[in-house]
Amino acid sequence: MRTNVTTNRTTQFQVLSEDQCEAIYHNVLEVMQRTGVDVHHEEARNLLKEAGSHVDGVRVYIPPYLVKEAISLVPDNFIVHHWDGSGVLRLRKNEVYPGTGPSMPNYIDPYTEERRSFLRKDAADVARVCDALENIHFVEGLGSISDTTTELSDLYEFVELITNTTKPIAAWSFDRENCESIYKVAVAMAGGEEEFQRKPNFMFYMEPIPPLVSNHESVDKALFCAEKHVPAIYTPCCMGGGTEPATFAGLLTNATAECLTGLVIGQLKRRGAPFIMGGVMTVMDMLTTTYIYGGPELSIMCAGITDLGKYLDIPVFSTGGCTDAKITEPQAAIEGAISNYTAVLSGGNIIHDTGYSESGLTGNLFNVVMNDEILGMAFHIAKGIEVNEETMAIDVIDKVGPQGHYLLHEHTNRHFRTETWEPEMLNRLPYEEWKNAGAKTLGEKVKEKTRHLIENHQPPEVPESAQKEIEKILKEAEERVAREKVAK
Amino acid sequence: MILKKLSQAMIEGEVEMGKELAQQGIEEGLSPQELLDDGVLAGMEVVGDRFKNYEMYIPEVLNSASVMHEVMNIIKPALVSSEGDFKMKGTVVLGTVEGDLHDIGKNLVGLMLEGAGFKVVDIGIDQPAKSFVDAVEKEKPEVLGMSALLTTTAPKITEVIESLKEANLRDSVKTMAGGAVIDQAFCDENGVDAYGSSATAAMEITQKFVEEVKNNAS
Repeated sequence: MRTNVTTNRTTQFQVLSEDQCEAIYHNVLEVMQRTGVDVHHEEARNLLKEAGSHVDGVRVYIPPYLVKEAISLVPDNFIVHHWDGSGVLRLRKNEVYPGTGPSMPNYIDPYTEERRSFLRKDAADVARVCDALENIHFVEGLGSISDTTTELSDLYEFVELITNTTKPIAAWSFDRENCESIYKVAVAMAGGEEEFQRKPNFMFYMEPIPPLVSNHESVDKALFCAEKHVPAIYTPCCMGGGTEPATFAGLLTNATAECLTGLVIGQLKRRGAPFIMGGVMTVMDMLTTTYIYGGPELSIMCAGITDLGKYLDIPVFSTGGCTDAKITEPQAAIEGAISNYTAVLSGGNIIHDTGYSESGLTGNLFNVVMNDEILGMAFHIAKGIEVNEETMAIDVIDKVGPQGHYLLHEHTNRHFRTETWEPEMLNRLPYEEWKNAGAKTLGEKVKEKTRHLIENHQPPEVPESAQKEIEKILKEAEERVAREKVAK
Repeated sequence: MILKKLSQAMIEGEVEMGKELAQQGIEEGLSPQELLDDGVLAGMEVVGDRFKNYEMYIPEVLNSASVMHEVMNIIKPALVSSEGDFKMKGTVVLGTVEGDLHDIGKNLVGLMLEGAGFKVVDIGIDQPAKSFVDAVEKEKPEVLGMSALLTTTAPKITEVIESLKEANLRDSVKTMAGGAVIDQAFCDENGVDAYGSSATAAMEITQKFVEEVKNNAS
């Protein structure tokens, strides 16, 4: 045997070196202390002040030791569960889980292919289709529901999502009240609060506002999550050249300061509260002002924030599978592929935004189904090359020799299934066979598969007790909103 | 029961089980032709269908084909004492044309055809037109398959067709061609009866041609 061997178990991909991460991190600490951040939440400011920050109005100057302490307290790994116990997401360094994205105003109708408002039934379709897709590991709704009580569309979305898939949901809400209602639904699905505390089945998403502002609602929700031990995704949407510096390193510095502000507040509220940093890191298109979702800047900077998260030992929320294309066309495939591939290689934990299209304005379920296949390829590459006596096949090579073939060799039979990735929709037929089979393009196959899953995939069975509890929660929420309207 | 199990062994690529079952069948007095038709070929037909429906992969199909070889070696000697020779589905002569050393596509077609119950005579790579003609004269196949991978060797297929005509053998055999540079248009223009875009296509073409020949004869 050979000794002293080093092997790569998987591919290696890193954009920031240890030194570069350190340099950015030191500047993050300086920004938080010297420049300061705005925190529009009194309780949070009080917590920060009591812990040693200097507070001036809404501006808070956070000393490095508070940041370092928070980093030492936050779990570097934790588990999010399927509500029925059928699976888990392990949020720890380099475990990658791609999924969809949240709350767009428009939606591509999966049958008419028209761009229209997002409806309650669409959220159910999205969850059911995602439930069936192998490489989609968590679910966000792809749209903001337009046909329920407006103030409660976030809650209705969550109900439709969690009752139509067992995969963990990354939820959002307008405010803390709805966040609490969503939490109650999740508790009902878990079978009680104690069960939920042991096996959380959703994560909660909130956005600070670049540059360096933590708004009231986001902080309010972050405090609630910390209190209830709900994994909090604290994620700025950064626009280089607009709301952040135009340079990648400058953007990452500000973005990290925004994330770590949420981290410090959460850890001050409850030590060890599960927290995920990250976000959508991209630039403003200086011709159209569009927030670019499909550009290479997004991929390189999401890989950058992932490296920073790994450097700090904090789980990372990354971005991929999104596009600026308006419909399912080659641009959507190219942008989805590059961003998901890069995000998978770089090792972001929760990789969101598959199905995001038209620069974050339209949800497209076709693109989710297409990206599921793309992710299959990405994972196959990420697995790397196994090198050992068996895989190097030196004796097999010697036996077959020149002008032979390997088709009949048992070595081939032993390995071809795991070494070869088999697409479901990408086409490899010879021309004539492809033509005879209807000459279908990838787009056509994607649409067929999407519709097939909408019509045929069986959603999980929701326990009757949970169903009743959810009805009660929705009724109470409707009553609350009605009361608030009268009060106004 | 033995025949059913034997065909299952073919489908699952179980060499040892296939051999045992064939031996057992002979001992229990089943005829070699019965073992071949209702055991071996019945199993291989399922394999062929599954492959066509993308349910089985090529190495698995070939694995089943090698079980077939092993089983045939057992039932052949039993034949000597009975009716003489197997009735295979038909005969196919295969070869790669002159100047071309590409092997794998032709081999694959051969293995698939054998698996489907045809007798395959592979004359090898880099074969001049005369070798094809000689093989057709000697083996009297229903189908002749020609392989070419290069633009420079494709015209050799035309030479084979012309040589068959000169030897008055052209009408005695159906022809098919395949390989990276070959397409339907090439076959149409050069008097080749069919274009095989893949090993599966070659198998289907062969089945169709052999049936036609049988129907014409009867």
